Amino acid sequence: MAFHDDLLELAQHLANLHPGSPHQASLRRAVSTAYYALFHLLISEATANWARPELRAILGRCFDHGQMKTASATKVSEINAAFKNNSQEKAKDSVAVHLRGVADAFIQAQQRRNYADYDRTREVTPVEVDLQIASVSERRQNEARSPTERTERRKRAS
Amino acid sequence: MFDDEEVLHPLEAARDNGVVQLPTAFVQQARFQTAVSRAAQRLAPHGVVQIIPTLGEDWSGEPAVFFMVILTDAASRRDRLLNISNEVSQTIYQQVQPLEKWGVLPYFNFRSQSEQAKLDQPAMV
Repeated sequence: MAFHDDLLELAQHLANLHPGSPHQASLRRAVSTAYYALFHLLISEATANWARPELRAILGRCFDHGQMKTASATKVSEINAAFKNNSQEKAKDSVAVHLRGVADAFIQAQQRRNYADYDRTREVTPVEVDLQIASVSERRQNEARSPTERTERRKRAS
Repeated sequence: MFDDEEVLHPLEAARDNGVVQLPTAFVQQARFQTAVSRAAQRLAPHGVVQIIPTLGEDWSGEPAVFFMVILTDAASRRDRLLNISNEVSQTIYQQVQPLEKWGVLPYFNFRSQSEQAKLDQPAMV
């Protein structure tokens, strides 16, 4: 199983570790682990076409959380602007809609991970954990669905 | 979109270190709250009880708005959660336009009504 799939499975395991009386430690680790599942999924997708497979892991080390967030926010904004007064374009451009979904899921998951790891001023709840895991799972399923769309998305995301 | 939501220019104030720009959401907080409340009303039939916006900075220091969305317990079920969260975020993106119109990057968190009651957190706006 791919590393990001292992992480997602681990996040689900952590979320269900104490049913009925969830512990903050396991809920927070679940949120954080789900984010890293998405982080490594995106890196895996981005480096998959690199001609020399033995260098893909090294290439993956170049990816930076902050730069990925900035790129994602820019992409969401661009696509929203393009769709603003053109709902017909939105209806037919499934690639752009999907790309916006990926970028937004990444931004949201990253901020939730930051809360979970560092912010003790408020509790993390099971609903927040469920959403984090469901959001990453959805991205994972979509990435696995259509190789043709994936190729197109890679072109347009770059 | 809404009559009272014309585009406003960010407040600019000259300081020792040059011109400082504040996002419109920080300067026009009451108007921003009104825009959010209108979106929340439209989402009520989907199970949205309340949307509480809190202005601040995200982990990287960018101006942000953190929406705490309170859902009915029925809407918070695992099989409905993803759909309702997508519906909420898309409605906020389209109707409020937090980044394009108000200069803040939107973040969404969701809780059920019973979770919120248990935590008994004061609403921070």
